[in-house]
Amino acid sequence: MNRIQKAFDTVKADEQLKENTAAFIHDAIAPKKRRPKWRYMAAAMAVLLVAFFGVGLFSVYQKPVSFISIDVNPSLELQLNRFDTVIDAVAYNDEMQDILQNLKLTNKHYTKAVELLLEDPAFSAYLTQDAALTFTVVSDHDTQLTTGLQNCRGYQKYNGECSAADTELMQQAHENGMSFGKYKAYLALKAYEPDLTVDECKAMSMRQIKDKIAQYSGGTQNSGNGGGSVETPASIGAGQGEKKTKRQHQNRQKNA
Amino acid sequence: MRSDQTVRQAIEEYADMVQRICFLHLKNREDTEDIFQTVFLKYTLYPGVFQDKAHEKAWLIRVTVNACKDLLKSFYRKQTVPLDLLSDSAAASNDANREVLFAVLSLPKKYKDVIYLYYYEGYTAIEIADILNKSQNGIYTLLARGRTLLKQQLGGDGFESDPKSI
Repeated sequence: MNRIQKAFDTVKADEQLKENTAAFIHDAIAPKKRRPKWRYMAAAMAVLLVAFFGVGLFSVYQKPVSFISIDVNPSLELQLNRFDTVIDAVAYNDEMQDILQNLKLTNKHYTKAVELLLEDPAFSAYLTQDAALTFTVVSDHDTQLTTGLQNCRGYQKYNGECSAADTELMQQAHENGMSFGKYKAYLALKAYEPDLTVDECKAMSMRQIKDKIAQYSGGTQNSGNGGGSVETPASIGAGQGEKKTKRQHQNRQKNA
Repeated sequence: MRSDQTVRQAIEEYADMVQRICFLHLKNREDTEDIFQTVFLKYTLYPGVFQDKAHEKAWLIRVTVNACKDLLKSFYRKQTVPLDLLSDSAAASNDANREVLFAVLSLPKKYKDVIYLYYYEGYTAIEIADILNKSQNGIYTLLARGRTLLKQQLGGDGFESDPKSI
C-alpha cells in the first residue's frame, strides 16, 4: 500500500452523513400524501354555491319590479329593483337624453336619484314657474314609493304631483314610444279630444296637456305652479289604467 | 427509479469514496452534505442499468467530480475558506498521513482527481481518461506533473511505493 492510499484511508464518511443522505433520498422519493377526494369535492361545492348565490343575487338585483315615470317636458322612466334601487334610467325625448348624458342615476336609491335629478341644473332649467312636475308610479308597493317621492325636497319645492298606474297602461305607453306618465295624461286629454294623436301629445309639455284637461273639465288649473293632478272624466279613470294613490283617494273622500 | 433498499446499500458501499472526492475539492461539511444528496439522488433516479460494479463505481466517481465542480462554480462557494473537513480528517490521522493529505490538497485542482484515482483507486490512465472524459495523453501529462509536484513536497518516491506502471 502506498502512502497516498494509507493517508486517504483515514478519510471516511461518518454515520451521521450517511443517515442524513439516506433520509433525504427517502423523503425525496416518498410518494406525496394525497389529500382526500372529499376535500376537493367540498371545495368545488363551495365554489358552486357561491357562484349560484352570486348569480342569483345579481339577477335579483338586475330585475326591474317598480317603475317611476317623471315628466315635465323632458320625460324619463326609472326602473327600480326589489331594493328600490335605480337599475336603469330611460329617456323618452331628446331633452332628457341630453340631461342623462351628464347625470348618473343608476345604482342609487330612487329618492336619492330623484333628488339628484331635480337638483341637476340642466333638468331644473325646465322646472319653470308654470311647469308641471309629474310623477307616475307602477309598482306593487306604489303607496310606499309615492310617499318616498313626496318626501323629496325637490318634489315639495316644485309642487310635484304623484299618481299610480298599472302595468297594462305602461305596456301601451311603451308600444307608443311614450313614458307611461305622459301616456296617462294623453289618455285623459284624448277623452275630450278623440282626434288627438300620440305624436301631437309627444310635442306637448305636461303643463299644456293639464291646462287643456282643466279647460275641458271646467277646472281652475292653468298655467302656474301648483297645478293639479291629471283629473280625467270618470269614464276614462275606469278601465284606462287609472290607479289613484291612497292619498288622492282620501282627498276624494274628503271632498265628497 | 431505484428502491430505498438499493440506495441504502449504495450509500453504505460508496459513501467513503464520495467523501474522499469531496475532501479533494470542498472545504466544509455543508457542501459535502449537498454533494452527497445530489449524487445519491441522481443515482436513485438514474434510469440506466449498470453493467457491473465497476461500471457503477465509475459512474458515481464521474457524477461526484462533476457535482463538486458545479458547486465550486458558485461565486459564494469560491469565497468560503474554512478547512474543517481537512482538520477533522487530519486530526484522526498520524503526522505522516496528514503530511500526504496536505500535499495532495495543495496540488493545483487539475491534478487532484487524477492523482487520487491513480494512486488510491488504482485506475489506469486509460480508465481515468474514460471516467473524466479527457484524452489519455492529457491524463499522462497530468499524472507526470502531479507526481513531480508531490515528490517536491514529500521528497523521494515513497508515496508511490506500490504504484502500477503508468
